[in-house]
Amino acid sequence: MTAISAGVVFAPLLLASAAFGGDGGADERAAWRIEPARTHIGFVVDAVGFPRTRGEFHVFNGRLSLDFDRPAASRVAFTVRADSIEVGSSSFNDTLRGSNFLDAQHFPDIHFESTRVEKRDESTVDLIGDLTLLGVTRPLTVEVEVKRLGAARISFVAHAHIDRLAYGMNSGFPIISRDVELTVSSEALAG
Amino acid sequence: MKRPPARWSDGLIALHWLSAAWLALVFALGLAATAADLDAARKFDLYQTHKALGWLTLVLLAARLAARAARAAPKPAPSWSRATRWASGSIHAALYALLAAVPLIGWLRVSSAIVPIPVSLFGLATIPNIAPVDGAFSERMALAHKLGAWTLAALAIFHAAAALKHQFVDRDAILSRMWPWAGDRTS
Repeated sequence: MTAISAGVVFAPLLLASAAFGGDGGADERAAWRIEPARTHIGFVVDAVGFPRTRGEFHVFNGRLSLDFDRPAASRVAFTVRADSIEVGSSSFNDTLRGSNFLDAQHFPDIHFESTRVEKRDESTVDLIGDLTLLGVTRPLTVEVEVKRLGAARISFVAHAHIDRLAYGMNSGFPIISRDVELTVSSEALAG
Repeated sequence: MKRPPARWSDGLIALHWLSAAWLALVFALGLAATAADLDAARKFDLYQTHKALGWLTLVLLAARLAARAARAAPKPAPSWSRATRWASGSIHAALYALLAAVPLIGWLRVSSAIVPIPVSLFGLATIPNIAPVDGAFSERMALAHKLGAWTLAALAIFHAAAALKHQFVDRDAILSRMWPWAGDRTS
């Protein structure tokens, strides 16, 4: 492994530990710490005449303020560093970071912030919020399945469908699909 | 008048064999990239390597043409008929034409492709595009590139078979003029 890869692996730990120092206001919500080592932010994109591309973002931080009694009061914010994309090939990574796709130099962060939470059933909620990608903010609904693994630990798996054209990421369409499937699996600790 | 040399120059011989090996590799990479059932990252890398090495064959070709222009060609084998000379000349002209056309068409294909991934020389330099984006044109260039590459491969095999036939059946020592370690026997 190169020094760069090692940096990518450890960066989430640093970012995450820096992000949660002062969270948690005077309300009923409790701040949860995301465990970077158990968090995977993956995406899948299809193309015509090219294999399905699967990748991950390795650098991110997130804030979870959860209220299990009143799920609608919960808030989630997540920021992903665009240049931390990893698809298993450095030249492919560079292409995706470049101006035709993520344009990471001009738009370093991909950001999601919930505005509303709707409970679907006992374990599933819809997080409704705004995704900012390439500087364009559009509403996004994220379906989240939450499992309590104990009093102080939860796991969750989130799915969202992103239409990249809505954010002005048009390159390669229609050879490369407009549909990007996003999956975030993570665990978080209370406090 | 200066007599034509008995052999090709050492530089041209070196470039010929380097080109042969290089083109075989580029062809194999192209086949693997299009045919192999691979994950996206491996396929991307194969395409990028094929595109970089393929583009560099244009540099090799320019060097060969320069080396060829720098010195007279060896004289034709005395035993060759007019028809054989014509056939040999035509095949060689076609080989050179394809050596230029196949990578150029590939470059046009990449340049005009909807998916904008230019030729990159292993991250050291990015080769500029030479055509505007046009998906239908790009697909036509892809087909022409493929047909041209297969024709070039077939002609190269024919060229090698003919050289072996002349060397070992006709025994006119034609291969010795291009063989790297045959200098002492023919000069």
